[in-house]
This record gives sequence, structure tokens and C-alpha cells, in this order.
Amino acid sequence: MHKMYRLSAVLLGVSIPVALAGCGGGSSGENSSANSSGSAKVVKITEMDYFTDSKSSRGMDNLIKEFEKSHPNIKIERTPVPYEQLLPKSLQEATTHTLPTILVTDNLNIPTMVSAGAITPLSRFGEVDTSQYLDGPLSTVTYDGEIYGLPLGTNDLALFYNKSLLAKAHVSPPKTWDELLNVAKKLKSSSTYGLAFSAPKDEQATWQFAPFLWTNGGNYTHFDSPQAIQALELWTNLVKTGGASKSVVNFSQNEVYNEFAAGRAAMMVMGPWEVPPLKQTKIDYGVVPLPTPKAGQTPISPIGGEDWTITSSATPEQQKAAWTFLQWTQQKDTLEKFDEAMGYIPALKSALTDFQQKNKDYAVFAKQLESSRALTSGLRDKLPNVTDAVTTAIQQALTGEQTPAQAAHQAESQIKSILG
Amino acid sequence: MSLSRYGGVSSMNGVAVSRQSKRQRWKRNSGMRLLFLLPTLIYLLGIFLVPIIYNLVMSFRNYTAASINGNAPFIGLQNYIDVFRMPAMGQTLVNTIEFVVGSIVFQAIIGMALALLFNRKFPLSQLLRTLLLIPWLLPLIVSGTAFKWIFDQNHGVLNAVLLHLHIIHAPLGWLVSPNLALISVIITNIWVGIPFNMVLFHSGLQNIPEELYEAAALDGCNKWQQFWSITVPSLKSVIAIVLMLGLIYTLKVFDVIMVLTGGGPANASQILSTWSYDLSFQNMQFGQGAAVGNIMILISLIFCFIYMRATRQSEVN
Repeated sequence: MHKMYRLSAVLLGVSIPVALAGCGGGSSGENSSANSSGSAKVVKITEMDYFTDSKSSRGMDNLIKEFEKSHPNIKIERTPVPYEQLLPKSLQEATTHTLPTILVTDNLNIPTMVSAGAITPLSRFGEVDTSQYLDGPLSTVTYDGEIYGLPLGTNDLALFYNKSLLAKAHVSPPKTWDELLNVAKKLKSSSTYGLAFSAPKDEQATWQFAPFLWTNGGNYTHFDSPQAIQALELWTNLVKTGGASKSVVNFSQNEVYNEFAAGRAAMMVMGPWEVPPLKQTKIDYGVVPLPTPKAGQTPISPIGGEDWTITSSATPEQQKAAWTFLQWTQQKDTLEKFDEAMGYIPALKSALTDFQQKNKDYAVFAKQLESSRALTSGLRDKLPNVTDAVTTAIQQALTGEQTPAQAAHQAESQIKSILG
Repeated sequence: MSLSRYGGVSSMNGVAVSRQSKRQRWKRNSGMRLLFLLPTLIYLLGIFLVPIIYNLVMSFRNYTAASINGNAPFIGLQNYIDVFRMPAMGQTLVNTIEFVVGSIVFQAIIGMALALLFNRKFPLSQLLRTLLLIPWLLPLIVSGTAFKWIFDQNHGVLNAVLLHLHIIHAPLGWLVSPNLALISVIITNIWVGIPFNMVLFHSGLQNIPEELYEAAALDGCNKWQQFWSITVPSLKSVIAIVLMLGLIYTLKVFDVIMVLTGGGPANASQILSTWSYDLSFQNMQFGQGAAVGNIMILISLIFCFIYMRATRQSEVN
């Protein structure tokens, strides 16, 4: 007993100086970094994004390095986190006001981040010349008339196909839904599925289903419309006929890419961000617009992409430095180089014209942008809730738990109560 | 120890006296004692009580992403009413019960069988027992990812083996078919939990005096009778602890399901813990997520009380 008491007393005695030393160390470290700047004061800002794979992570690092070279009085500390963690982490940090200065936000999450008070309208720092940007991408960063972010770049969805696999099956890339079903079935072999798409129970499914829904005239706000049910039937039939794997309900977009890159899927629904990694594989691929219900229609794709946003947790001094960085990234040459490395299409009109001429691979995506729209359109900050209803319906239909019509009706009653 | 120090007390009223003296000593040293309890108290309050109270308060409010910025209006029991009205609730509850019962029963039976096996000495038993601990040492993300590949419909090893042995004729969608997803996550969770059960049972077995078995053998008991009349009664408290801890651990399993199925397809493998996460961080309905979390805490507490009741009674006996 006595031994115990003495031991804990010793521990207590030790722990206090240690704690004090810890504090001392921290503060002296900060002092030294402030002093090292010499005459001009260095502003330290932080940045968080979800570019964790080596190629895009390097692209991000290079961009920051380049900026720091021309702006010696601003230092940017970057923290990449996995995609699934970015939103929970940012919301937690918003609650405790510890967000990084700059947050790379998926444009789908802009409304959520605005309503959480996590990001600041850019009009507070300066003016954004809206005429310079494409309307679609601009609409994804606009909320209640304010602009909350500048696009890193933009993207949308199209159909990638494996040229040699299609040639082997003597088929050409499908243009209509009927062709898609047939071609996918013909491409099915023991080791390969015709098509891969992403239908997990999160926003990736809402995002990949959107072009099929919208092009057929459907909408997420009326999910039991005949147009929506037809789109759901298309996906269900793709799985039922074996054209697509039953595993699509478990495929993230990353896994869809892996299937395609490994030759286990002959076609995939995917965006331009996989063009740079695909170029490094041996796969001879082509890109065509997504098949439409009838021949000759223009597919309507959702607009993806990430945006530079400035958070409300930062000090005014940090926000000012962040604004300097944001403006710097939007210079035509910088943006073009960055977007090419990252697999984006510039949302800046001046950069887009050049970009299209230089990068034929992105032609389909760039052209489609004119008809594309924001996934959040009409849903405001309710996209997460609508996604819950819609993805449950998609999974019920794909797994045969319910017919597409039943699943759609159930989702619609949920959506009605969400949107009020 | 107290008896010897206060010496000369008859064993009949020894308990009463020592209790009294304990109280007196407590009073004398209470200031000092409190001081030394303080770190533990602060730890318990800060790490356990505050979050639980915060969670409880949150579940009575309409707490969404917008509440981070503004306020979260008090709505009483509405979150609880809402989650019970959701179509996913019934299925999630049934899944949770199946998941917990299925996991615990098989973990305990297989764990016990392995413990009995390793209770005998045979060549390499030490090494094998150490190897069997591996599932417990692996991070759940790693075992989950490994099982995700094993269960894969098109290129997983399980389907390949079953097809080769002609047990099945077409590959099964272990993780993607609503009928199999829950079974698959239960199998994974059983695999993860076996070592824990085995270790506890094994250490319990070593405390059973060998003489009991010798006497039973002399009396002509067979192995099966020995197991039910000696091993099981001797392990009663160990079994209670294993089942209790197993129940609490299994109720809060999260990583395994998140990695394998994410609760899908169409909520087929959704349990309360993953649903709570979904409501909070997918739907941004933090109040509803907190409500589901509290239902889980309540279930755990009920079983904790049953357990404490049972152990107290057996102590009295």
C-alpha cells in the first residue's frame, strides 16, 4: 500500500515538470520560426485536401512549392487525408474552430460546409470576375448569391472503353441504352464484365446515377417518375444480364477504375481524373459520351471537381494570405499545368480553350460541360439526405430485393419528407 | 491484513469491526485519498461522462450541419421517434441481434474447443497457440481488407475453393447479396474474436485442479461427463465474463462492417453502430445519430447490470 502511494506521488511529481516542459517547447518553437523570417514577417497557413495517391499528391506539393518560391513570406503546410475522412474531419474541426486556413472542398459539400459556417464568402476578401468562369462549375460554388470557392478544376462523367476488348468482341462503343445493354452482355466473359460503375451507399452512387437519370428527363426531387424508374431499370438490367458485376453495390469509384485498369471490366463510367493514371498503364482506351436513352440526345452529366475555400477558423491575416494563394492558382498558365497533371478540365474560360487544343483526351469531357449541371441543384444542402434515400433504392433494385418501381416509390416518400 | 493488524478479533464479528475501522481510517485520510483519486476522477469525467452527457443532450436537439454554425433547437424525444419510424430501424435491430448472438455463440464455442485442445500438451502446442493469436493482433482494417478479398465474388479465394470442390455451382456474392452480406460479416467477426475467447478460457482451465479430473476418472466418468460436471461449473465466472465482454465488444463493432460492406447492400448488414455513423456523417443528422448511439449505450448498460447482479449473487453464495 505505502509503496503504491509513493509510486504515484513520484509519478505526479514527474508528470508536472514534463507537462510544463511540453508547453515551453511548443512556444519556443513558434518563436524561433517567427524570428527566422528576418525582416518580412512570414505568415504560416495550413491547407487540407484529399489527394492521397502519389501522383496527385505530388501535383499538389509542386503547386505549393512553386507558390512559396514566388511568395517567400507565406508558408503553406499541407495535410492530405483520405476522401471519406475529409468531411467528418472538417465538420469536427468546424465545431472546435480548428479548421485549416485553406480547405479543398468537394463541390458537392459546398452547401453543407456553408450551412455549417465553416467556409467564408470570397467577396469578403476581393472580387471574383464571374464572367471568366464557365457557368456550370460556377454554379457549384455559388450559394445564396455568394461565391464560396474557386475551382481547382472541373470534371464530369463519360464512358471509358478498352479498345482491344471491344475489338475482340466485334462491337463498337454503345451510343444508346439498348446498345449499352447488348454490348455489355456481349463483352461479358469468364474473367471480364462488360461495364463497371459505382453504386455504394454514398454520394458516389448519386453522382454516377445522375447522368442516366437526368438525360432521361428525370430528377432527384421526383424519384418515382417514369423517367427515374426507367433509369433505375437500366442499371438493374445491366446487373441482371451479367453485363455488370453484382459487386457494383460495393464498388467505390476507385475500385471501378481498378477493375478497368486490370482488364476485368471492358467499359466504365468515369471522370477525367483517371486519364493521367490510365496513360501509365498498357491499356489502349477510348472515351465516348455516356449512352443516351435514344440516339442523338446530349447526355447531361453532373459537374464534379474540387474548390479552394477559405475557412472561418483562420485569422484575418491568414485569410488574406490564403486569398493571395487562391488568386495565384487561377493564373492561366499555372492552372493549365496543374489541371493537366491532376486530370481536371479548367473552369476558367481562357485556360480551357488552350487546354482543349493541347489535350485531345479531354475533348469529350470538355464539350459535355456545356450541358452539365450541379449535382446539388434543386437539393441545396439536402443532398446527403436525398443520397441516403436514393442509394438505398438503387441498392434494393440492383440486388433484386425490390423491383425498381417499388424501390423508387419508397425513396420518393422519403425524399418528400426531406425536402418538405 | 486488517485482521492481523487489529489482532485478537474473533472471526464471527471480524467483518463488522474491520468495516468500522475502515470507515474511521477513511475519514482520517480522506483528504489525502481524494487527492490521489483526483487524476482518475478527472480522467473518468473528461473522457467518459462529459461525452456521454453531450451525446445525450445532442439527441434531444435538432442537431444538423447547420447547428455547428447556429443553434440546435430542443425537440424533446423527436429524434428517437424519428429513428424508430425509419424503415431501416426494424432491419437494423434484427441485424444487430443476429450479429451479436451469432458472433458470441460461435466465438465462445470455437474458443472453448481450442482452449480445451491447447490445455493438453502436445508438440508445437505453444507455437500454434501463439499463431492463433494473430487475428487479435491484426488491426481490424487489415483483417477486414483481407476478408473483403477472400469474399470477393469474382476473384475471391472462398468462391474459388468452393467451386473447385463442387460445393457451389456459381460464384456467390458473399458481400453483395442481401442474403449473405450479414452472414459474411458475422463469419469475419467470429474469426476476429476467437483468440480473445480462447485465451480467457485457457487461463480459466489452468486454474481447475487436476485432482478433480482424477477423482472423476476413478469414479468412471467419461470425458463428456467430466466436461459438463467439472469444467463448465468451474469456469462459470470465466464464461460469464467472456459472454459479457463479448456482448459489449460485439455491439460496438464498427470497422469490420465498414470495410467489408459499409452496412449494405441496402442496409442488409447495417447494425446500430454503423447506422449511427451513417446518420451522423452521411446524412448530417447528428441528433438522430446520437439517439441511435444512446440506444446502444442503454442496451450495453442493461446487460452490465444483469452481469453485476449475477456476479454479486455468486459472490454472496
